[in-house]
Amino acid sequence: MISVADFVKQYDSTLAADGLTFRVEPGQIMGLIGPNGAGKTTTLKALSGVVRPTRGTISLCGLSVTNDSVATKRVLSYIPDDPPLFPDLTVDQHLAFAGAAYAVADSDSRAQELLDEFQLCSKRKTLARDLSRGMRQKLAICCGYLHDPSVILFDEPLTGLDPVGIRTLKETIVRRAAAGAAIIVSSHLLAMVENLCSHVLILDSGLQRFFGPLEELKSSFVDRQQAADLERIFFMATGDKAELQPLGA
Amino acid sequence: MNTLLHPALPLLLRLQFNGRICGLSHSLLSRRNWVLTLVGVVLAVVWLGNAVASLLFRGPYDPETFHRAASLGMLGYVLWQVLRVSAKRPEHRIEWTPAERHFLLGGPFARRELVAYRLVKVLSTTVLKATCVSILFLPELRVWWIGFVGALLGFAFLEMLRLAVEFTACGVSRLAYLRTRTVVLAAAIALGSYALVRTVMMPNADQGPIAAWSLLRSFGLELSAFRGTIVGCWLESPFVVFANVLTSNGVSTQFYGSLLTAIALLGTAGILLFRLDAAFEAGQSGCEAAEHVPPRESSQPQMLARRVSIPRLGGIGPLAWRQFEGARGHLAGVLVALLAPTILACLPLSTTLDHATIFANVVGSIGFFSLVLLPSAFKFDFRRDFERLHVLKSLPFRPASVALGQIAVPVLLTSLYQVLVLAIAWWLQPISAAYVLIALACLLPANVMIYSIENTFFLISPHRMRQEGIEVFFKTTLIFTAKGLLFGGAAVVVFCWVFLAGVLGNAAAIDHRLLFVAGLSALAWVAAGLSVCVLSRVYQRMEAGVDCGT
Repeated sequence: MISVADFVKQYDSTLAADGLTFRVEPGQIMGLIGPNGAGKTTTLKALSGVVRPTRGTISLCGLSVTNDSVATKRVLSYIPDDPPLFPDLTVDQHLAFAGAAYAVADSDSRAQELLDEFQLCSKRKTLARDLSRGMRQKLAICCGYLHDPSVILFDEPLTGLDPVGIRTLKETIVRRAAAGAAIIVSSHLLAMVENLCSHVLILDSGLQRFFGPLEELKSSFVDRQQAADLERIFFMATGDKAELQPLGA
Repeated sequence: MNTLLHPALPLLLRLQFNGRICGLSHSLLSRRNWVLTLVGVVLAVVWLGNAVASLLFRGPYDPETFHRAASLGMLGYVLWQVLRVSAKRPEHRIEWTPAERHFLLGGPFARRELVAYRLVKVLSTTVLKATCVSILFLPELRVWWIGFVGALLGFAFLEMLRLAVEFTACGVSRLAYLRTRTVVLAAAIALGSYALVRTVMMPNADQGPIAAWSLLRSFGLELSAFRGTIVGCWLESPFVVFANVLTSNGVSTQFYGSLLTAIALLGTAGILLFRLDAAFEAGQSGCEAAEHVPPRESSQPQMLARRVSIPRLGGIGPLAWRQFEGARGHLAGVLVALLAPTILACLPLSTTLDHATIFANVVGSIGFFSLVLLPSAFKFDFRRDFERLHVLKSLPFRPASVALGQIAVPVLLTSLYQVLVLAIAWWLQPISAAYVLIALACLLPANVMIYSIENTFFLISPHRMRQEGIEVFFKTTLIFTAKGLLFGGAAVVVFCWVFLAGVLGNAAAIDHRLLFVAGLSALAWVAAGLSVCVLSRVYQRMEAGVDCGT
């Protein structure tokens, strides 16, 4: 569903992404992890069509992000870190706009369901500028879910959410993946990634350190006598700047 | 969907417009802002009253002069835009708000739909501008609604050309931009210098008390003489069409001809905009392709960078230093912004009046341009910190320190401009150094006052620097009117003090000139202190998250 081949992104003299290649099938949830400045947000922005790749191909649901940008955006939802909202629009109006933008047939009922799910019903008439950080995050997620995208990209989605919101979001991610969506979650919360994701892509300085199933990463690259948690593996992968080596290599 | 404007975009425009009107009325009528609202209403009444009075009591301008001024004014506006982007390249072809960048650039909208959305948003202000202009020039318009249509089409054309200039400046490669910039700036300097020399060399220069204005008029006439050249005619020709519509006698064949030509020009400008955007979007060689990302930290050990030692001064130091670094990054723009005011302020030096009168003219010119022109050029203060106001509020500095630290750089730049012009005046028209020092003693607190007032207005209703829309248009008009009234008020105070100083001086047997200077300087410093206090207070009471939006 998400197919990236040899993705390179260069800004002036800085190589933000260097030859990334990975694939996320329908039903899979891929965790995108790496140190600050690793190229995670650049990768997500390229997938969402906001930035143009310097080289490489990116396709979503068989559509090229570069050549079929409008069609790919119809099947995609990108929820950035601290999502910017229109300060003069209310919660309801944001959803009305999103419904019109994506031509959602039953947008009113779907919006109601989402507002119920994320406990925003009491804030329907509230202006976006008057919402708290967590509520803005929830509203952005609702807008992103409204058109039932086949591809969903999250950048630090849990920031600002309360415990109920965190649980709700995790449940919706799992549910949507089970329904066939391909999902990427970029986060520094390794415990959450380990708990939620089926696959992992580790980036460091624009380079791809590892991509594959999480279990494969744990079982193949960590001595069974040691704790096989993602945090340990992360530090091994990015701390000494060396490519991960399988045991015995 | 193969439409010019996606159906969701007019919905968004409508929702935003309604939201802004609701927000504006709520803000104006809130307890915190009702004083400002009252002041705004008074100013509006004064401005409108002045406009109505001018309509009722003044005779119409000569039709030929009005027609020429309209076309030349439009041409001048476009040339100014070319000069402006030559001095400072826009960072983006289209300035999107963060929310627009997220929802629109990330949404299922074709590029042409986004450009159309942007165009509609920009053109929405032309209705109000056309209404104001058509009312202001009612005596000159033969048929009001025809004048309104002409003004509307003219403003729309100007906005489209402005966008086209910005698209081009941002869309071409850096090398092409630099080469064009060199040519444009060289041409501007050559033209300005030629006109200036001809003005100065004019025989029988006016020697009256308003020699500066006469010279300014002559300078303007010299510049406008270029319309008689082949290049001038060619450049002015599109704008003549809109001036024809504006000044039409009535519905006639000629009117329809001009109207159709004007609409065709508008259509052409619109098509040009879309084509330019598509071409630059495909080419990706301009400023938007060169997004800067800070270089990743190397794993190699590095020499410790030499640290800058910034005096804290209660917080004033770091804030002023930060704004100074910002000004340093825009040095070219700062120098270009100083060019016109410096030339204009030096014009009185070419007259043959006595030195004291010339000096007074120069000081008056400096004061006027410092009040009117420079504040919009030197926005190295709160006005460029719209999205960082909450960061400022979190700093451990007193409000007064923040206020002084934020306005320090524009005050310094304006003061340097004034010192430069006064130095030139003193060199060309030698006068007692005491006069120069007295002028500086009064101008420095005036600078503090100007930027305190400018920033106070901003903090009461913050907005992004390049934000457009009716709301910003209202704010700009209000602020400009307020500054004009302040300037007039200050002039009245000065004249009153001249009289009073004479009376008091005679009564106390003190040199009235000494008394006048001391009193004026003291008054200026007190007013500056009060304005900084007001700014501090407004800053202290401002709630960054609530008042700024996202």
